[in-house]
Amino acid sequence: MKTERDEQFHSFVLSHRAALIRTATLLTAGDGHLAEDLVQSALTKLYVAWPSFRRADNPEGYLRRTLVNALTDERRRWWRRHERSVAELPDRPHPAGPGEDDQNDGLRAALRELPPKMRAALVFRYFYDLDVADTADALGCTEGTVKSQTARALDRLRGVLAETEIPLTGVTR
Amino acid sequence: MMDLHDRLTTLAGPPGATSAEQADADVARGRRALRRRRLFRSAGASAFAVAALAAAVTYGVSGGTGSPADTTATGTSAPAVVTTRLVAYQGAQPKGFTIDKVPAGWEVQGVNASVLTIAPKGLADKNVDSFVGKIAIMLQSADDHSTPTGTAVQVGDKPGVINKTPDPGNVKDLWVKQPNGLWLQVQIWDATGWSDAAIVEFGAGIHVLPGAVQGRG
Repeated sequence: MKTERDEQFHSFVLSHRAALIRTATLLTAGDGHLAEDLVQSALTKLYVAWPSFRRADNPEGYLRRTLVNALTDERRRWWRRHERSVAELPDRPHPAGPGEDDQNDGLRAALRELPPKMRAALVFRYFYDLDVADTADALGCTEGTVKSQTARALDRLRGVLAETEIPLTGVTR
Repeated sequence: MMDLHDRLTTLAGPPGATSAEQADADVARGRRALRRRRLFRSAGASAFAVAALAAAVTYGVSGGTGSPADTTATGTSAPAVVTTRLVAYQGAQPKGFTIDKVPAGWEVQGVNASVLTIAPKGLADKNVDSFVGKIAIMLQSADDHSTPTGTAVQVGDKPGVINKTPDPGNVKDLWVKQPNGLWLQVQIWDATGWSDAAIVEFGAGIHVLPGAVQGRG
């Protein structure tokens, strides 16, 4: 029998899951399997804490923090061993067009070199265009830390991408 | 030439559709996790209650230190009632809070930036983020701006509220409004044997320091 929580959560998943998968794909440096795993873990935590989430002043911020916590939570290893209910990843359209695969591979490799929180800072700042304060809120750190992490992430990204001869444009600090 | 935002957008992939079956699976995972959590909680609470009963100690609320004379075997056919006795806290004061009293036989067990746990001495579960069988002291979550409701009490010179959480077991919260407007939360995992007066007395001995920070979630 479905409870009120089930129904509310079900509707939430239908409307938010796809966006969560995109975010998780970036947070996991393009690893689709890990992204699915991350979203499953985050949604499970969200279901358990559903009353708190519903009361939150800033649900979007709550959601970002849940994702980041799931990403950095070492206990996720436990989840990865036990949560295997999706035998195959859902079909998603192939994102890359002609010539984009190499660039994606380069960016994927560059992101993989970054520590998870540094990668998350980059994603929130340059994919979601969050300001420093909201990014700090998502990461649970100070605004100064966000600035320094983002700067270091960009430096590292430039270094890795330079090796693949793919220049980085359109970023400011 | 693509800029970083465009590249990240490409790498993230196009938004796919979520099927009802996927949502069902997420609900099922959530329900299993919630059930595990509740089972774990009730198992923890039961184990704690058994341990407390095995001690065969009846406590009386007291502001002074305990003595053997305070210990009385219940010795009747009626269920044993374990009443919490508070004693002066003698140990090092934790970061973020100071404590005047603790239940007899309990100790300050763990502390981080946003929570302090008090637990029976020797409790195996040392994880400061695990509250099973413990007392957790923290400021109200930064994500929760609701005003606590329940039985109004006066905690020292501060207004407070006692309520029972909807969780299984006998989890009670004492909320004490601080001068800066934040609420101090004292969560007692198993409030069996705690009168409201004892909870208030315990709460009145907790002092929030400027270094205490709110948690999240």
